[in-house]
Amino acid sequence: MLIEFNNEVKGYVIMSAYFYLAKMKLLVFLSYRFEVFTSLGTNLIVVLANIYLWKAAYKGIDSVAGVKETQMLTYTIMSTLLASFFSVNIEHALQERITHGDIAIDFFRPISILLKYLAEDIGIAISSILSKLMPLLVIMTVFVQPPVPDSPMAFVLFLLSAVFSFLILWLISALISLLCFWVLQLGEMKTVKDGIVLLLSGKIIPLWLFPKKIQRMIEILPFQYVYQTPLSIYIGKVQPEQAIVPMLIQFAWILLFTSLLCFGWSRARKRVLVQGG
Amino acid sequence: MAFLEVENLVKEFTVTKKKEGLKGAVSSLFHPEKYKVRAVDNISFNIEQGEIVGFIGPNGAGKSTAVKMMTGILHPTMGSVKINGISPHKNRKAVVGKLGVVFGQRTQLYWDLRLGETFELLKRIYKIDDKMYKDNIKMLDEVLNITEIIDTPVRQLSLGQRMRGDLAAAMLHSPTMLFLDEPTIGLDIEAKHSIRNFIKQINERCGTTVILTTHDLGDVEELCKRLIVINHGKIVEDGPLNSIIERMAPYRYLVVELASPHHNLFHPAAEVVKTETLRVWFKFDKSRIAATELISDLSKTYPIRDVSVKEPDIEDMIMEIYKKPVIF
Amino acid sequence: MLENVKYYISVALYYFKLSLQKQFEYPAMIISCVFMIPMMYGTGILLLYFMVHNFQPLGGWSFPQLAFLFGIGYLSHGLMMVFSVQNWWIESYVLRGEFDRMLLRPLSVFFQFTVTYINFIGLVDVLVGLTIFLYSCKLINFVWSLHNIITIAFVIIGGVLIRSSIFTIFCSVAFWTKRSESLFLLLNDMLERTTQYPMTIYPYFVQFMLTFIVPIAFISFYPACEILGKDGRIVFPLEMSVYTPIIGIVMFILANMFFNLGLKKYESAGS
Ligand SMILES: Nc1ncnc2c1ncn2[C@@H]1O[C@H](COP(=O)(O)OP(=O)(O)O)[C@@H](O)[C@H]1O
Ligand SMILES: [Mg+2]
Repeated sequence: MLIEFNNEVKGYVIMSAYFYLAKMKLLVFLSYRFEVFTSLGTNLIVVLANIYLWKAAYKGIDSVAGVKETQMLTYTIMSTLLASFFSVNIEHALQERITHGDIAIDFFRPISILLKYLAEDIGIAISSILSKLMPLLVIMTVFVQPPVPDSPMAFVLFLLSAVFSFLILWLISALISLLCFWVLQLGEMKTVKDGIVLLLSGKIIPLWLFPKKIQRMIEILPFQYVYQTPLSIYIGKVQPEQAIVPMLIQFAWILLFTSLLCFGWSRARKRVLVQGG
Repeated sequence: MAFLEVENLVKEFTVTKKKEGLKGAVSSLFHPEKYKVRAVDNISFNIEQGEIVGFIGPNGAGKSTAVKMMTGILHPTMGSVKINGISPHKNRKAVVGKLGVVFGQRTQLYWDLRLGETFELLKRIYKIDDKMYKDNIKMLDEVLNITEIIDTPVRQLSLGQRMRGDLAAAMLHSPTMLFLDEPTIGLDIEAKHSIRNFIKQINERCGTTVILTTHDLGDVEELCKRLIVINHGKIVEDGPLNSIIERMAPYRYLVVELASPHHNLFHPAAEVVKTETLRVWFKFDKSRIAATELISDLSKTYPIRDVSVKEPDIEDMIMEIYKKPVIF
Repeated sequence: MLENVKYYISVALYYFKLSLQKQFEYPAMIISCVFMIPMMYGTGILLLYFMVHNFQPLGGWSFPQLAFLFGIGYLSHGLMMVFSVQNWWIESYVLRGEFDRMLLRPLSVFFQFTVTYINFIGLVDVLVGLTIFLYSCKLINFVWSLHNIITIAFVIIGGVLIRSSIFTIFCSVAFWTKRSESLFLLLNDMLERTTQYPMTIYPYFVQFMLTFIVPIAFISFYPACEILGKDGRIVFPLEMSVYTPIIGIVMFILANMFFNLGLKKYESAGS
């Protein structure tokens, strides 16, 4: 009976359901008036502190590793903008449902729970364009410097690469929350992941400042493709014609993680159905 | 001077209105809309030592808000409270040391820890000496069987057990006055019974004054000689249970048993409120028509086999209150 | 008086015991923090290292000096995390009516609130801070004279008081607005960025504000300037072992007053 129901639901209905979920998240976020203003304040503090730090570092120095001061400031501003856009909630949401045992019900829903969370996270991300990204961008443009891309082509590639970044980050988070099925008391894996991303993604420290050996090690990991790749394209540290390689690697990570997720998900599903939740 | 004096107590809350839709959300971001709710509206009463007083009224009537003001948790918008002559708002520490308070909806106990840990903490906070602590635990064990659950983590207790724990925690320091906000909510008959028994016992044994809010009419009937009925923040009745019923519900029911089924029973001074195949309930105002008169009228027209007169109970009274329109 | 002190201590100690027990109910939380905290703050200090290494001393501060500044600031941060994380929860205490419980007890609510939770996980922060601090002491050839030790101790105690009080004051806003949790994050970021880097890299008016309006500069910047003999742009007549603790105490009293003012606005929670 359930399967029949599944087939009856037309693609159109599903799409509008996702759209609705995304919109709900946006409304919920905007209703937190206080948070809208404080998160703007937080971002401002972080980005301004970073800007002064880089200005102090660059004082009298033209360029380091081929990156000039204005490029570095743009990098820092864009990194904060990206971070405010990359809010991923799936770990929290999924873990809640697993610990409360609600997840068994989700496996029977016509809408896949994973896609549901993706839709919600996209909703949040889009709402942060309005509530976080735009105000910050305006303030930066007026008071510091407009974070101009290196070229129109760089901008287009940046957008695409940033979408890939979002997906990579989201998939990493989803994979981590999937672990909850096996290790219930995994608890705060999310904070550990956040720590690693902070350190190894180039979000704060561009990886070209690391010693060469460490750089090579970090390149094997997926983290630098979350921040460093789109940002380097944006500021022209990686020129559009060179961008194809890192973007392909981004894409490869997405494919790899997606298949891992699908595999893990079906295993989790079997496990839940066998054990009865 | 009464033990508890409440004078012209008022509490207003400011509430932010949420607007609908995306446009509404954005506009609330910059211009939130606010309005005021009067949860408690100018109430006054006195309570003497040793009384058990029931506070009743529908949901949202303002009972909890009133209790929170009497216990010093909330500051009144206007008016005053005095317990033993002292205001809990001006001199909180002096007053609350002598109070016990339990909210049925929310526990005071530490969720993750053994019940006994909360007791130990309270022992230190209230400066309870070892002898008094032992005596009180013994007394509470007699009425609430507290030692049976004292070593269980609070999160593993059933609702009834948890309530027993909360009541015990509130009584550890021998308060002279106990406030109970819906102590029997959600409990089964047995648990309710043990809690009512507890209230009776501590009132008799320790002379504790008790103020109790409840939805449960059984609580009121069994425990309270005096009732304060509150609706929309105002006191609508205050007095002994019987006389309130008399005033609020000054009618009787006449239950008529018919010899054969009959439709469209009618009497100009009484109202049919319920019919079964052979039984009909008439509601009549006893100041308008006497029961005997009604019976003789009816027996003239209908084939009546038996009649009985029923007094209204507290349930009927509550219904009357709920129906009453509010006049501002 | 002595009786009173004993009373308060016995209550506080029992609260400590309870919070320790509570935390051991959730071991996963502890383990993940042990990983996460060094990573977060490691990133901060690494950034400084790479900057100095690839560029130049920041505002004239060499890496060992920066690490010393970072270490002092981080030590008081760690202790603050141990003793006053509950400021973070003022919002949820207000929304869920958790102050009811404290208001019903014959003890100062501010005292109960202050001792109600000891975050033993914060000891990880303290440990990381201590490591960085001791390492930098070695790099700068810090002289362990009695005077210096007392200075450091007073500065750190004062720093903890200043930090906690700032959080209490700002998070108490929740009594009026019902919201403040996100303010905690904002303040945390602000405190991080202003206690870990020399203030001389910021415009003068920022330093002025952080000296005379919100005295963050006394937590680590001025003390580090004094000990390292760096130019702090503003000169004070006495030593920092006097200023920091005194400002800390004043801030703590202010925080107490502000908290109590807010408590008058407390509305419990609608059921
Ligand atoms: N903290 C609060 N903030 C806003 N409104 C409240 C708050 N507490 C109670 N109210 C409102 O005051 C009214 C009375 O509530 P309450 O005293 O809890 O009623 P009762 O206990 O009789 O059910 C309700 O309309 C409720 O919504
Ligand atoms: Mg209530």
